[in-house]
Amino acid sequence: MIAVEAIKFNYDANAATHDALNIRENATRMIAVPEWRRFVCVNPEDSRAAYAVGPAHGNPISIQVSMSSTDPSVAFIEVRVKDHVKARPVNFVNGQTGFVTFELIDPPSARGHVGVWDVDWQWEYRTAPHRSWHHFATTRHRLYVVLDVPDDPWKQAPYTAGNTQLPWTDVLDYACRWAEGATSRDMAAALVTQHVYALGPSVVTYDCPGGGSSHYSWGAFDCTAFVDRLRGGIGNGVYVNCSDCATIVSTFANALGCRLWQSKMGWGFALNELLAIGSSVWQTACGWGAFSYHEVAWEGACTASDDVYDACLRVDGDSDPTTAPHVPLLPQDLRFGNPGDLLYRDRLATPAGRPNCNPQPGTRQRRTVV
Amino acid sequence: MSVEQRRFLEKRYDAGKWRGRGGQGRRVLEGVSLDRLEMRGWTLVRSQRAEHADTTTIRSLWRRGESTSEVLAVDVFECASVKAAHTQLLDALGNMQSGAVERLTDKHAPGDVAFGLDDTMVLFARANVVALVRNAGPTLVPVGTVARKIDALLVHWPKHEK
Repeated sequence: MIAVEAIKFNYDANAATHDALNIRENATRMIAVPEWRRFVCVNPEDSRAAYAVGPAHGNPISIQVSMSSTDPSVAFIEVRVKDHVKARPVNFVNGQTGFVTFELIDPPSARGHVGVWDVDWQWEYRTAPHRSWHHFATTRHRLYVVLDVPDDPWKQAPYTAGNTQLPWTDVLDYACRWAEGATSRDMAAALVTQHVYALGPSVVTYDCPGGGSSHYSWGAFDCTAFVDRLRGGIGNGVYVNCSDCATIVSTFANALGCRLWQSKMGWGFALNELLAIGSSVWQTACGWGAFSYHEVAWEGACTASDDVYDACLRVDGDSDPTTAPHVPLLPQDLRFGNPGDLLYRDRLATPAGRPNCNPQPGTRQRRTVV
Repeated sequence: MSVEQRRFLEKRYDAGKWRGRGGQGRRVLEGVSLDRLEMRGWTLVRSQRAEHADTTTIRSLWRRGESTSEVLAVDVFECASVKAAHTQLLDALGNMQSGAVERLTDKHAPGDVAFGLDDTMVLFARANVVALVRNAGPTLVPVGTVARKIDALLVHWPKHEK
C-alpha cells in the first residue's frame, strides 16, 4: 500500500517566491508545517496554505511530499496529481521517500487574482512509463491567494509561534472572499471596503449610543473579537466607529497585500448629511452635526493628495453634497482633496467645516492585531 | 494622541476646569476589579484584565440574562494618579467622534468628573480610576444606574493614602 504521509506547502519560511507564505490561524493557534498530515487532516480547512501573486510571479511553485509504501517490491514509481501536481519519480528506501519536491501545475498564484479555493487532490502512481496510473490517495486543502506579501501589521518574520502578527487564516477566510477576483491593490481595498460597509446593520452598526466610540480598535485591533462577531458571536458588541472601520478595512486589505494606513482628519468639523454604516437615514451622523475627528483607511502619506477608503459612511456623491437630493457614494479610492475640489473632504464636511477637516498624517498608524 | 488633537480636546471639554482636581485629596485606589460589582439581572460575558506600565485595564462585556440584544461594555482603567486618570479620560474622549458628548454636572453624575451622551454612554473618573459604560447591543439600556454602581464600588474601595 502506498500512502501520502505529509505535505509541506510552506517549506521555506524565508521566501514566498517558490512556496507558500508564513501564516497562522489566529492569535492563539499556529499552523504547523507540514500543513497536511495523514490521519490528522480530513477537510480542506485542516490543511491551509496561502500564496502571494507578486513574489511568485513567473516562478515555479512547489510543495514537498513525504510518502510511504508497505509493499517491499515497490522501490521506484512515478507520482502525480493530474492537473495539479507534475509527475515525477520517487524512490522508497525502507518504505519511505522522505520529503520530495513536486512542482505544481497552474499554481493558485498564477491565476493572478485574489481568491480562496478548496481543492481535492487525487494522487496517482504508475510503476513505469506507459503503464496506467492508479489512484492511491486523496488529500484536501484550502489555498488562499493574495496579491502580495501582507503588509503591516502583518509580518512574515520571525516565523515563530510567538509572532501573533503572522497573517491569520481567520482573516484570510473573509478577506479573500470579499476581494475575490481582485487583480490590483486598489480593487482589493475597494472590495473589502464595500463588504465591511455591507455588514451593517445586522453585524455592525454605527455607534450612535456611545458617541461614536471605538469598540474594536482602542489601542490595538481586537481582531479576535471582530472575527467572532463576523461568525455570529457577540464579539465586542454591535457598535463600531470610524476608527474601527478604518482599522478593519486596512488590516483585512493589507492581509491581501494592500498598503493602507489608518489615519485621522480633524479637529472638530461640521458634517454634511451622510449614511453611517448600518443606517438608511441621511443625517449628520446620528444628528450630532459635527465630528470631533474622523479616521479612514488611507493610502500613501495620508495627505490631501492621497486616496481614502471609508467603510464607516456613505457621502453624497452628486454635484452638491451639502443639500438633498443625495446620491449615495461609498468612498473608495477617492482622493481626500482640498476645499472646493468636490472630493472626499468636500463631500464629508460642510463648507464651514472643511477648513477644520484636515489630514493629520502624524496620526498614521497600523494597529497591531490581538 | 497627537498634540493637536489633545489641544483640541482640552479646549472642547474645558479640561482646565477639571484636570488634576477632585480625587478627594491624593487618594489612590489599587487592585480595582469588577468582581464585587453586583448587577442584578446581568451576566458577565467576558472580562479581560491587561496590565501595562502605568495603567491596568479591565474590559468587560455584560448581557441581560441570556439576551444578546441587551449588552453593556464596561471598561475600567486604574491609573497611577489622579492626573494620569484625567489624561486617560481625555484619551477616551479622543476616541469618540461625536461632537455632542457633554460634561455631566448634575448632582447624580458619577465620579469627580463625568461626561455622557443622553443616558446611553457615561465616562467618568473617580480618583485615579476611569470607567466607561456603553451600550454594546442593539436594544438600548440606560447606563446611568450602572455607572453610579461602579462609582459606589470605587468610593468604598479600600483606600491607599499617598
